[in-house]
Amino acid sequence: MAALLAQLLLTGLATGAIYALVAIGFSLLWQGSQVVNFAQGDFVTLPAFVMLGVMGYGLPLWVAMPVALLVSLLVLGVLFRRVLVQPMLRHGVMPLVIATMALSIFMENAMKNVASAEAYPFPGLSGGIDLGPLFLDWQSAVTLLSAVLAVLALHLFLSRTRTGRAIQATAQNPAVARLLGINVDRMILITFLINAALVTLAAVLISPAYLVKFNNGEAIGLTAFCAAIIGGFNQVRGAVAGGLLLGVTETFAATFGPDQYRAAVPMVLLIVFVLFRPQGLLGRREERRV
Amino acid sequence: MIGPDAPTVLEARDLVRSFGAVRAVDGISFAVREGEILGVIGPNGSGKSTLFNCLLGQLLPSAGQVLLDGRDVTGMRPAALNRLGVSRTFQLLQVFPQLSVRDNLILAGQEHVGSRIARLFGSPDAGLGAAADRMLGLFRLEALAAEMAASLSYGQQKLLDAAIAFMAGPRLVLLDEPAGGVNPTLLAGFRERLRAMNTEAGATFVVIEHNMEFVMSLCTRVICIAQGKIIANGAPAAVRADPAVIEAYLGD
Repeated sequence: MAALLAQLLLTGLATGAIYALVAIGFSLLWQGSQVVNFAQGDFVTLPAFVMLGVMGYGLPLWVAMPVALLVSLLVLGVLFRRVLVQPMLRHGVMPLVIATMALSIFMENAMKNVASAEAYPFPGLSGGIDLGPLFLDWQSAVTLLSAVLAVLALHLFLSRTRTGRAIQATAQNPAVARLLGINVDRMILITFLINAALVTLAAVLISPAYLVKFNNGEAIGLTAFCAAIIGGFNQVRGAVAGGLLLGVTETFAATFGPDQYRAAVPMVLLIVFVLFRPQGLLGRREERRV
Repeated sequence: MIGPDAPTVLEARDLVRSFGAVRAVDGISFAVREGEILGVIGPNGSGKSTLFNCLLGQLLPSAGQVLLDGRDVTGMRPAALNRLGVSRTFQLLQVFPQLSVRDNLILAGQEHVGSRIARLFGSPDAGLGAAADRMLGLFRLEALAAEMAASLSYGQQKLLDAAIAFMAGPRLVLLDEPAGGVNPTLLAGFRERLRAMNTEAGATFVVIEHNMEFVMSLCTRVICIAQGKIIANGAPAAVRADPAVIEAYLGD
């Protein structure tokens, strides 16, 4: 029993680590420029399809990954900000929320038109290592490790570098940041680029298990959204905690409860948190004056 | 004393700023000489903060000119003025709440040092660690260096706000009600800090303040503004004794 629990915990953490990556991007966009991106899940699907497309030409995954990263930085980073966020944000947060919902529908249907509704297999790592009663599969191990490294690198970047400090300042008080000579516009662009890189990494890690399908983003996006809120919407480490908590809870619920309720887990947890701890696990209260 | 031959740092020429039919700043002219501590007093709503905003490029004046070292800087962006050595504090606090006190200070100086390459790859404290520590010492904030700015008391945040304004090594600092809400003990030390920055670092100040005792003990010259116009300009004692100032602002 203990071995099973440990095994489930490991699987749950690996899944949760991917949710965490997507949720961090989600909360960075919110902090950097008040974008609630309901297309975030589809942001994970797009680079997965790009990689499949490149591999379709007989090229290996390690060539496909940088291509997908480049496309993500350009389309999900620069273009997303220029074409959708900048023109819409002037009209307030809500219109932009609706716009990202529309973007989600658009992306899913565009991907369906190009790639059909089929679920495509994606190369992953097979095999693993026996650790006594525990079986550590390479895919989970690499997933956990790369997610941890990515989060660590991001944390160091935000807290220990000049640019990171300037990004934090921009999120906390853009007017004064501008006054101090910080290029606020560039800092916001950098958060969009970080998000594009995070979703690309998430695509590489999640696709072997979930396959690649045009509407995969619905579940991933919703889970990441819940993870970000549960962890505390205004904190990067909150998104990590929320993602891990959801991954583990979901895995346990799917093993010990009826499988069809697996998808309901994030929403149930979200409701519980909104009712009893609205600032999330690690978040701080935000005040809004009306 | 500031001699009459000290060069003029900042000059306002016939500044006007209207909001609709209201002329919040109505033809104000004055000059600040290097090394001066100029106090700006006047009733609430008399146009003091609007004047500051015009001087610092946060509001475009409706008419008139702002000159820095004799050069026309009217309407220049605040960040550009900041690079020319002008900084300010705000009546309402403007620190970064979720950064440490020390990071707040480093942030204020980091856009002024180093090349583009150094900014990308340079050391995290941007070579400003020593300057930040010196400022922490000057403003007696050493013990709070690692605290989040949000956890400081209001008075301490005011000190941090002022320290931020000094981090870029400015020649001219505009302080908007620095003494407001600061307790008397902190305030005495604060006044000494400002005086030290004035005599040692040679910084020039323009200070908006309601605390008359603070103004009288700190400033070398005072102007009084009422209804967008200067009604008195001179030595602190002379301005305080001016009948027009007493009627418009001080009362009996």
